[in-house]
Amino acid sequence: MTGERGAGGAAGEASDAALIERHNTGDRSAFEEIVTRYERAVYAVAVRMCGEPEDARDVVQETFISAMRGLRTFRADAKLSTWLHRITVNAALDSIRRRQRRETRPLEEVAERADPVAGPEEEAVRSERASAVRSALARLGADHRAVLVLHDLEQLDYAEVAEVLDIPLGTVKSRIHRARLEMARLLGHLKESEPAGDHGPLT
Amino acid sequence: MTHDDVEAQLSAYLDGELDERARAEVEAHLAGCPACRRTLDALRATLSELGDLSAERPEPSEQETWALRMSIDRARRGRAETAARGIARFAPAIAAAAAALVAVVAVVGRPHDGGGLAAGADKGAQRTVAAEDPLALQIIDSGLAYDQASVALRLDSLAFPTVAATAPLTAPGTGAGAPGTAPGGTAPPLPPEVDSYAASSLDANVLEAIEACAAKARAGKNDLEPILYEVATFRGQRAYLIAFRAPDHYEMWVFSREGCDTLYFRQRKA
Repeated sequence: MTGERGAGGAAGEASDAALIERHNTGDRSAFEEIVTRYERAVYAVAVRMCGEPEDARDVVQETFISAMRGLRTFRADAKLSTWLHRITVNAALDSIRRRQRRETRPLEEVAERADPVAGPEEEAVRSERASAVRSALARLGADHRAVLVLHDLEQLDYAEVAEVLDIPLGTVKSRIHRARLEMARLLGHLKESEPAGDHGPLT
Repeated sequence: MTHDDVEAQLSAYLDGELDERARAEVEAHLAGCPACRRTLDALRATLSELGDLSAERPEPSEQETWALRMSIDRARRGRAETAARGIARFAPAIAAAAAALVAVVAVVGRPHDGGGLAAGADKGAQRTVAAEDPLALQIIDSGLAYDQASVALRLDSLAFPTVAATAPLTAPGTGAGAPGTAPGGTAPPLPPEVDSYAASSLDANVLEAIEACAAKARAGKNDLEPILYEVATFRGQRAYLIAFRAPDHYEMWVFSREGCDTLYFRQRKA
C-alpha cells in the first residue's frame, strides 16, 4: 500500500488518522471509506498468499471485520496500512495452515492447483511465464512467500515488512534472500546446488 | 566481508538496502567472484519476473466487493458466526428438537442498530455481542419446505425464542423437488449445518433479490427491521421467507423468488 493517502495527499481526501478519529466518534461512513481505500491492497495480498480463491475471500472479510472491531484501540501513531497488512498476512497464514492440515495431496499436485483462478474482471490472456512465476510463488513455504509478496509484489520496504511481520530487520533481509534463491531455483535461474554453501530455507 | 557474507547480502544489495561502505565491499568482491556474479544474475532475473507479476495485480470483482460489504454489515449488526449455526438448526416443525434447541438461543436485549454500511452516524459505540442474538439479521439458505403452519411456527420461533412450541406440529410439506425433506408425514431431517461462510457468501444476486422483496414488504413503513432472510420453498414453490420486527409486532412474509409475489403473510404481536 502506498503511504500517500495515509498522509492526506489529494485535496479533500481525509487522512487515515482523520478517518479513524471519525470512526471512533461514531461516524459509520468513515469505515466505509477505509474499506474503499484499502480493499484492493488487502485483496491482492490475500490472493497472492492463499492458494484457493475462496480462502482469499474469507481472509479479506476477516481482515476488515477484525479491523472494524479493533479500530477503537488502534494507536494513532502507527500506520493504518501497516496494521491492515499485518492482519491480512496473519489471517492468510492461519488459513494456509488450516488448509495444509486438511490436505494430504502431494506437493506437485497442490502446486498445479495453486495458481489462483482469474477473477471475471482479470485479463483473459496471461503469459505462461507469469503462470510459472505464480506457481513457483505458491510452492514456497508460507513465511518465504509472505516476505516476497510484501516486498517484491506489494512494494513495501524492508522496514515496513519488519513491522508487518513483527520480526527484526536482519531477519527480513535473510528471509527475502533465501526466498528469492528458492524462487530462482524453482524458475530455473539457479541449479538446486547453487549457491554453494546455502543450506536452503532455514529462515 | 567473507565470500559467504557477500553472498548473503546480494539481495539487500539489489534492493539498495546497503550503505555506501557495504555496497563498495560487495562490488569489490563481485569483480573477482564468478559464482557470486552468477547468483546475482539469477537474483536479477527472478526479481524481473516478480516485477512482472507485481504489475498484474489481482483485482476484486464487483461481486466480491459487494459480498465484502455485506459481510461487514452483518458483523456490524453483531451476528456472531455461531448464531448462524444455532438458528439454522432450529427447524420449524419438530417439537422435541425445538425444545432441545430452545436452550441454544439466548435472548439478549440489544438496542436497535439500524442502518447499513453506507448509512449515517452510528447511534452508539460498537458492542460485542457475546451471546447469540436472535434479533440480529439472520441470512440462511435452508432449502426447507414450508407451509402455512410451519411458517407460523418459524415466526413464533423468532418472536418468542425461549418458548417451546407445544402444539402438535405439522411437518413442513414435502413439495416436489424440495431438498432435505422426508416422505409422508414425518418431520424433515434438520438442515445441514449451515457453515458460517456458506451463509455469509450467499450469492450477491440472491441477496439483492431478497432485498428487493423486502423493500416491497416495507413499502412506506420505516419501523420495520428485517430479522430473517431465508431461502427456502413454500408449498413446493421456490420462495424467500422474510421476517420483520416492529415495535409492537412481528411480520413474516413469504415471497416467490421470481417476481416477489406475496405467497403468504402472517403477523403476531410482540
